[in-house]
Amino acid sequence: MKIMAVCGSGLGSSFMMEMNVKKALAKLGVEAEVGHTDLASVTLDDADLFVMASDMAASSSIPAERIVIVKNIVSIVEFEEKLREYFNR
Amino acid sequence: MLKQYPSFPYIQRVEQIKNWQQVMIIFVQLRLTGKSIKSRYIDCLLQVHQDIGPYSVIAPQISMLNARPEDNILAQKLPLFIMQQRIDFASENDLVNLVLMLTEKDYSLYLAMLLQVVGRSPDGNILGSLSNLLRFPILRRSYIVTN
Repeated sequence: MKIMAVCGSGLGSSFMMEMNVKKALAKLGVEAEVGHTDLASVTLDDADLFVMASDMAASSSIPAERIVIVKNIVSIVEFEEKLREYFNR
Repeated sequence: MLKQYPSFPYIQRVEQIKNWQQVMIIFVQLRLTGKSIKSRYIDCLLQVHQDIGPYSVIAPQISMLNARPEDNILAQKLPLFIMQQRIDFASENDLVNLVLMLTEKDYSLYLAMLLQVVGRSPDGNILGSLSNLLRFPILRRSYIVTN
């Protein structure tokens, strides 16, 4: 499985999200390849699951069922909750 | 890599704040943040906000402005704009009390500084951890502090 964190520039915020996704996955015991990119260049083929803030999701062409939306991108707790919810679907 | 979180010896009071655009302009223009980035960065910040929305509001009450190596960074700085008055950034994480900006010439150091900020607050409560770090009550007035 591949997970891509997406932000406006593909550097600061998405890098933080990538780190927090990795920490959350470790807690959940899920193995996945995790990367980060920017909204302008992201495509459906880049990953199985995309993580982004809601502002980004509204501007994205990625289908909603393949997006996990986080409100607080510095909260590992929220990443863990949202990813657990996704994997339990 | 950074060994420890920077200290913030420089403090500058800020009076009236009208809106988020003014927050960005004040932040970049004030003397304490001067010489860390070139002035055209503010144009880039405002344009990106206009194009893709309030991307910088990364958590409740917190906006993070990234000035990266390619943004003509002149020095490593971590200025914080702490606002007594809450400002509407048109984000679901409104209203904003804290704006922080990372500026760094070297990309690996930039990422290291970013992790220092994030790693301090696993529950996302950056304001809470800053209150201890700065050693004075935050949100009693508006000011900028920097390293």
